[in-house]
Amino acid sequence: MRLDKMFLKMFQIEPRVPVRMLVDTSASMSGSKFDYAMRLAASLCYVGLVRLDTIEVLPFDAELHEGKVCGGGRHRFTPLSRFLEGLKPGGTSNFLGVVRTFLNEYPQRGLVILISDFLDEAGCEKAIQYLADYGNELMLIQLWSDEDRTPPWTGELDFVDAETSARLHIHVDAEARRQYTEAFDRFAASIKTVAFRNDGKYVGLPTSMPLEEAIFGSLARVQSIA
Amino acid sequence: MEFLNLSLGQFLMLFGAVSAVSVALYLLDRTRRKQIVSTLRFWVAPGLPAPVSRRRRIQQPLSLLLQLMGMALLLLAIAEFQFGGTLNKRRDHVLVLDTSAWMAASLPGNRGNMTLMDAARANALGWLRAVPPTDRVLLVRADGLATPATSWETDRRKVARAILESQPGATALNLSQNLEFARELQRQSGAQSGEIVYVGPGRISSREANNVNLPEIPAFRVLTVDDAVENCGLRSVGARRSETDPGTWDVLVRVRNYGKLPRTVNVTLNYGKAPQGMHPIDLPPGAEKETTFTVRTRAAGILEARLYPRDAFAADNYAALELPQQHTLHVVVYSNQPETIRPALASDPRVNAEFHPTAQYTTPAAGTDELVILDRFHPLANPQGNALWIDPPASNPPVPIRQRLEHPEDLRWVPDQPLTEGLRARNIQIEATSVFEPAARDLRVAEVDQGPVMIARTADNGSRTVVMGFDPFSGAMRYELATPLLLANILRWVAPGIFRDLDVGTQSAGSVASPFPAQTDRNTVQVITDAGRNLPFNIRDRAVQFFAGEPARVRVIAGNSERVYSLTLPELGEVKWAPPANARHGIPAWTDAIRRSHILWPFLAALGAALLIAEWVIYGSYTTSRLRIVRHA
Repeated sequence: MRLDKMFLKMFQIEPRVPVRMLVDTSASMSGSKFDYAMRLAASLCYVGLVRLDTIEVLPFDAELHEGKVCGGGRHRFTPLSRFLEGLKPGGTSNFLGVVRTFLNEYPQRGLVILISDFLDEAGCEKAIQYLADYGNELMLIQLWSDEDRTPPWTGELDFVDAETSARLHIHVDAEARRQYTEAFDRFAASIKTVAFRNDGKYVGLPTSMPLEEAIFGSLARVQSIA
Repeated sequence: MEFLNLSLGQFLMLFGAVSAVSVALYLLDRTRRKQIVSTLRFWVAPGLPAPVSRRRRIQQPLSLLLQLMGMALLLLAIAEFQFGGTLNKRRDHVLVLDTSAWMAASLPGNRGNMTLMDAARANALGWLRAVPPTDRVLLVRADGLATPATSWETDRRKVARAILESQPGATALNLSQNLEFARELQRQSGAQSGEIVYVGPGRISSREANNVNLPEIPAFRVLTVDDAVENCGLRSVGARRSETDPGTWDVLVRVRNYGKLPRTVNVTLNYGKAPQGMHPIDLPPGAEKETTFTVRTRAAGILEARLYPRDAFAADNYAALELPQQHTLHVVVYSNQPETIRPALASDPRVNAEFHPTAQYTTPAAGTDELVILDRFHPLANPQGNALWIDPPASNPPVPIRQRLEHPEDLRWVPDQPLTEGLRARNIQIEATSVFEPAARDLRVAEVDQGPVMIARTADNGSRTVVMGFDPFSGAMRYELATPLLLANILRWVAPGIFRDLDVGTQSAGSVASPFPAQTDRNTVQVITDAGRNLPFNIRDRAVQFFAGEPARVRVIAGNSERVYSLTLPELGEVKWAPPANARHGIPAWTDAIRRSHILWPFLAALGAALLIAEWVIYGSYTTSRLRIVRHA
């Protein structure tokens, strides 16, 4: 011993929190929402790569599909980009089934970033609550297009559900559109409530918002990106 | 209610087609549209069944109604819809502007040297401004003739320019003819008849006033021009050679008072700047008097007549006519017994006779206009010009002699030729005569049973020869009336221009009736202007009637008479015409029957467009958010 004394060195190891990004690829995401979701996922992954974090991107619709792990610096962004480009929207949503699968395959708790429109006929609040109950930190990013919140159509319309192909014959007037928007806002508020109730974060993004404003504005405000 | 551009059938057909297309597009637009959405959950209230919309064919009837109304209004604008029925239909008006000679008179009071024509122009322009803009107007300049100055025009500037260019003419107003012409134009125009407007003082000739025959005019308007001015004027100036003194002209001047007050005027006559006299004349209102002058001259010159004092109408205060030179026929008589011929030649002042014995005969120079009389002898060389052979000898006669007759009893004149005009004597006793063997071109003047005893011929060079087989100045025939008539006919046939009765006169332009001498061949009548232009004429009631619409010098030649008319005086009407009781007066107001039509089509088009825009804003695909996006872009 060089100093004839005993030293006790104490180290605290900060465990790496696994970051998993669940990206909704169901048919309801078709159109501007899907493109926006892909671009947003890529942007968030790039930020993580720059910080030398490791992020696993997991697409899902009715099932949880095989994901892509990206890490090791920004030079590894290209494989992730190709992976995201290869995704296509389709299929129905089944949040509860997907969450069960996810919890079985990824028991280690971590940060779960969920990018989706959360439009599931069976509801998604219960599935999200499961994620939180298993110790996952939640970050919910809800996307909607302008037509999703404020439909522009009037008159005699035959609505077809993008996922289930269910039809609805309805005559749309200004009052119907107003009631629709109110129902949508209530739905978004319920998603937000679930997130906040579990100490999670929630961001609602319309696809008409520029992606830069979404990242450096809305997401930064909720401290999703430090 | 009417359409200017479309008929009712065309309008209904177009509206039906447009309405059908509009309804079809409406139904197509309002059909149920399929729309793929992310979810249906927000369209259905929680716990409630999905709404079932009962489909209706007409979802938005007010939208369809607005569309159809907008289309109908646009079509009405295209069709130029108008209220008021036939009152607003396009009309054709005829503006009859008086341009008679009287229009050159000064206005009453001589206001700023303005004439009646200026006042008529102002009235015509005022009426033109009041005419509805869609109506057509045709301008007729009215004097002795009706002359259209424009076609049917809606361009008011052209009509106004024609009005301003109208000037007084030289003839009197023939109102009946002008109004009949205007009415005929309206009938032939094809459009609805508008007004016939007469602008002027309405002064017509007494001949027309006695037989006014106006056509039936539904809308007749009179814009009167006040012409209450005093005027005395020359009616005519005529000159004729004195029958007793060939170097003297008898001049007749006729003057008329057109006014309402008696006046005393002075008529002065100048010939070649030399005064010939002045005659004062008292003229009661409407009276016409004449005075005579005598002018002694054989030379040509200008004869001027003036009327003093000057009055409101100066054009008829002066007249001038040109007196021609008096020509004479040079006659050279070769006779050994001149005393028998001398009285016959000396009786006519237009003959300059020269007597020589036959021994002194000399051949006259070729080309002279003189007449050579050879009394019972034959020269060595025949005369080349005009010649009268009296009983030529049998040896080498100018016309072959068939035989010699003593005391023929059946001498007769061949009628229907100038040389025997007025000769009707029968059983003329002559002592002896030669019977000629005439050529084919020779004219037979007198005959006996054995053949012609007097012939006439015209040579190729124009010289004329008369050969008499007997001596009319001897024996019993010298006492016959036929002898001087025969000689006069021969002289007139040889030199017609000299022996033509000449009247020279100046009078007003317009219709002229020249006396037609009895027993004159109608084929000899000529009416010629100084410019050599033949005027059309008509022979009726023993007069040669022709019309000169403008001042001119016209010669009327009929047989042996010639009249020269200097038509330089204006023709004035003597009678003030009274318009019919149903005639309108003054310039029409806006509320008159012929009122300005309201142009509705711009308002209809604007209203139709407004309805369509309103329908699109209310029911169409218009949204403010879309407009905002467009502006941002």
